[in-house]
Amino acid sequence: MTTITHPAEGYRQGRVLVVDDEAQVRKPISIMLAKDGYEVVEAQDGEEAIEALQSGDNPLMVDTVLCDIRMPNINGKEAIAYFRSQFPGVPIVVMTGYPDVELAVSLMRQGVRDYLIKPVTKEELLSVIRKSVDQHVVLKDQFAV
Amino acid sequence: MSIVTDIALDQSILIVDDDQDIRESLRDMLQHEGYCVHVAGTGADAIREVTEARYGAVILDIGLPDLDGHAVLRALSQADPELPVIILTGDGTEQNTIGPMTRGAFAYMVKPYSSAQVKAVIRRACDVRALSVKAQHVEHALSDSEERFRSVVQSTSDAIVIAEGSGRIVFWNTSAQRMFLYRDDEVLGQPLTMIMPSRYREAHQRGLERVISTGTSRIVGHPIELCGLRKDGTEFPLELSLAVWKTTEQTCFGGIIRDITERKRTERAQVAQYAVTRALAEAASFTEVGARILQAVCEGLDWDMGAIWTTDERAGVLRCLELWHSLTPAAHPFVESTKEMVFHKGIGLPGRVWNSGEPAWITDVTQDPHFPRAPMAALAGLHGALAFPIKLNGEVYGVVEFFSRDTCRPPEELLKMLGAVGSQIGQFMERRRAQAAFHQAHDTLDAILISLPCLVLIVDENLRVSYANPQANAHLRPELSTLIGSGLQEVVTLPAHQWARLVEDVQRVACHGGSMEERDIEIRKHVYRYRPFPITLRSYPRRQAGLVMWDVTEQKQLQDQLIQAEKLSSLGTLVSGMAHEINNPVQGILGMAEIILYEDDPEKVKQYAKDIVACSTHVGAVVRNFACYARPASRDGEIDIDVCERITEAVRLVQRCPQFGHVKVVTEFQPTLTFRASRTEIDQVFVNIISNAVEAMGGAGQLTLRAWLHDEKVAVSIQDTGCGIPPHLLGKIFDPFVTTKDPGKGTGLGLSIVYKIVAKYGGRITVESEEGHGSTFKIEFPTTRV
Repeated sequence: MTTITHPAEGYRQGRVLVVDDEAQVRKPISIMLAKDGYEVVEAQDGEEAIEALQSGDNPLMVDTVLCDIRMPNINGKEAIAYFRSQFPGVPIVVMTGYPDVELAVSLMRQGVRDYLIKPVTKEELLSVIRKSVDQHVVLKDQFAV
Repeated sequence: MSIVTDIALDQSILIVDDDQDIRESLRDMLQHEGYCVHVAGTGADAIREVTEARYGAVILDIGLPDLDGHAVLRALSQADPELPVIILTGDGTEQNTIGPMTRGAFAYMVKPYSSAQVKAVIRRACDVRALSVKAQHVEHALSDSEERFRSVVQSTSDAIVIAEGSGRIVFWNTSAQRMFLYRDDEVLGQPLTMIMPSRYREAHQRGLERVISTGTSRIVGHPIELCGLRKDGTEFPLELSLAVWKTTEQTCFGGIIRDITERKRTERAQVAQYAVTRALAEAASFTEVGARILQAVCEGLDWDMGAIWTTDERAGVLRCLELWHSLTPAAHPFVESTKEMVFHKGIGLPGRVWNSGEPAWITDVTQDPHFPRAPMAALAGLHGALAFPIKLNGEVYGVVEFFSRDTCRPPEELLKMLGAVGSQIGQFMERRRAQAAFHQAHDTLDAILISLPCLVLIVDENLRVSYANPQANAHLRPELSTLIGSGLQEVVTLPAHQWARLVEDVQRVACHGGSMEERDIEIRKHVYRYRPFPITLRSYPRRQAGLVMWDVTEQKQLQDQLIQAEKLSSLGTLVSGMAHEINNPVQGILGMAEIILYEDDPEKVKQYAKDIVACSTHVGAVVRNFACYARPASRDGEIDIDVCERITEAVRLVQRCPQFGHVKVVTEFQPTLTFRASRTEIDQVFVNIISNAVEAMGGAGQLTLRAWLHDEKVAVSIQDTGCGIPPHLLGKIFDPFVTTKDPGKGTGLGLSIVYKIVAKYGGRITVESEEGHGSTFKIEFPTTRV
């Protein structure tokens, strides 16, 4: 299920897709991002995330995918590979509880924008997301889609 | 010559007269007097009578018709010189009287005679005759006895020497002559000292004086052994029996001397043989006894040098093993060359004896063309040589060789005796060889038993210790000086069920032989692995059993450490799962907490706080599970294991690994399956097999877990649909360091540890696998254990 958390006041431009199988992880993150002014879409696994990206009118409407790696069904790695091949313009930030250098390197080579290790502080999360979303928003504007 | 002892002799009278009247009148008269009277009418009759019979006296008429009276008288005198003949004559001329008188007639009577005259003459004649017979008797007796004495004295092989008081030899017999080699005239009248060695002379003198002054001798009646001195200066052993007697004039000594050279030789041979026997009996080694034997034989049998040669079968030669001699330095070259020499079969005296197996001798080696050492022997003054084999069961082990300064002509008995010595030595050598072999075997065994890093006990059927090596003593009961005789139960203190099993094992092995599997027991904080083994002794009909035990404490500890290491290594793979499992709730906690910081709505804060509590609880549970698994296994106690619960928990643990992927888990559990074990060990078994299964499936497949009760055993099967195990590894999959994983991925210890744990609980683990289709591990645990 995709949950959309509407941005709070002090709206910032941008939409973030949060992919994590654990509701207890998704929930505070969504709240934080919403409070920071983002529109948040949640997905609990890769499959839902792909659905979410495809179901929208324009995939470029998602400005950053915040994605966990270990998830049932389609896991993060598979999902990211799919995103990179289908929606190469959408920046992806990985957030994992499983620090694995090999995996990190491989993901960065695939074009992942950043790599966060759980637990992530609010400040760290927001700074990464802000940079990523802002960049995407600027790019979007420039290419004037 | 015979002696007539007719008591009537002196009463028997012969009357010779041609006048019958005179004969009759005389006969009547003399018969009346009590005489036994015979008559003869002629000289020839008279002579015949006297020759055939003996008469006390004869009355002879000188004027006989046939023979001249004087001739008759002569004839009668010849026939019996002592016979008194009374001449009766009618012619009283001087010619007729003096002549017969000078021819030995006893008396004359001239016819006519008075009867009184006749009676008196006859009586006197008969008396004289009786005296003469008596004298003759004595003389006969004397000469007879001397004859006998002489013949005895001369014929005896003993020497008889008689000396007078001053010690001069007055008589000796032919044996003495032969013994001392002097001629009679060289000895008779000489002092006794000339036939004795000078060293005895002083004592002899003292003895002589003592006998003369006291009349007693210490040696009379007691044969003593001395040495005699021959004319040629050689000495010989003799036995002397001394007699002392006194004549009217002086004290005389008689010595009966026996040459005891032979006896002495035999005695010494016996002594030598005895010495050899004793030396052999007492000796520990042949080298030790060799010189003693040689010395004993040499000294006993008058040899000057002896050597023992032993066969060197490999080189095919005889070598000098031992040498003894009593020679002067001049013999040095001979002695040294003998020591250095080797003899081939058939060559030289030792080689010939080796070849023949019979004793051999050389009368004089210096004259023998086949004696290589002849020149040096000549230098050493050696002549005679004798050698005999050391034999056992017909085989020649060596040769003993003797040399003498004298020439050698060994008597048969000596050869026999040496033959006996040879076989004695042979037996000794064989015995020593056997003993040495036995001792060596014993020592080797002992050394092995002592140096074995094992405890070795041997118990009899009453479970009494009959042997314990020092290690057993030191480890099991160091306070006892020996374990031998102790009961096994005092030595090996065990809990009842382990003791019962040990006794059963030992008894089964003792009765049925074979060997038992190894078991572990703990004594005095040490873990020992033991294995009973049967002992059957040829000389000991009753069954015994041995128990070899070795300390596996360290091994156990190492094994525990290994199990732990392996667990840590599998933890490495689990840790990623753990990280995820922990980091996710921590992320939740962190996120909620940070939101709370900026949240003013109390309801929302409460809600977030509840979430934090939930997350924290989750983290706690994860950590608790993890800690359980990580705990060292060996020292926690055994509890009732709920098999299904442990399998489920293992799956939960493995599921958190990244490689778990999309594996589908199917379980078919019978409820309440329990057995006693250490929980962490059983967890390790299941986690190991399940994580292997998951890994083999590469993130996709089906894991089927079953548990059921089968013959009072808890059976578990873990089936995967993974890559399977290559057939060449299937047989050794439970060996350490065997892995199907890529290099660097697996330690190869997991399944070996699983196997050990399962075995520890008396269980069984088997595997079936088909490459490309998956594997099934089946484990059985007994629900009740002895």
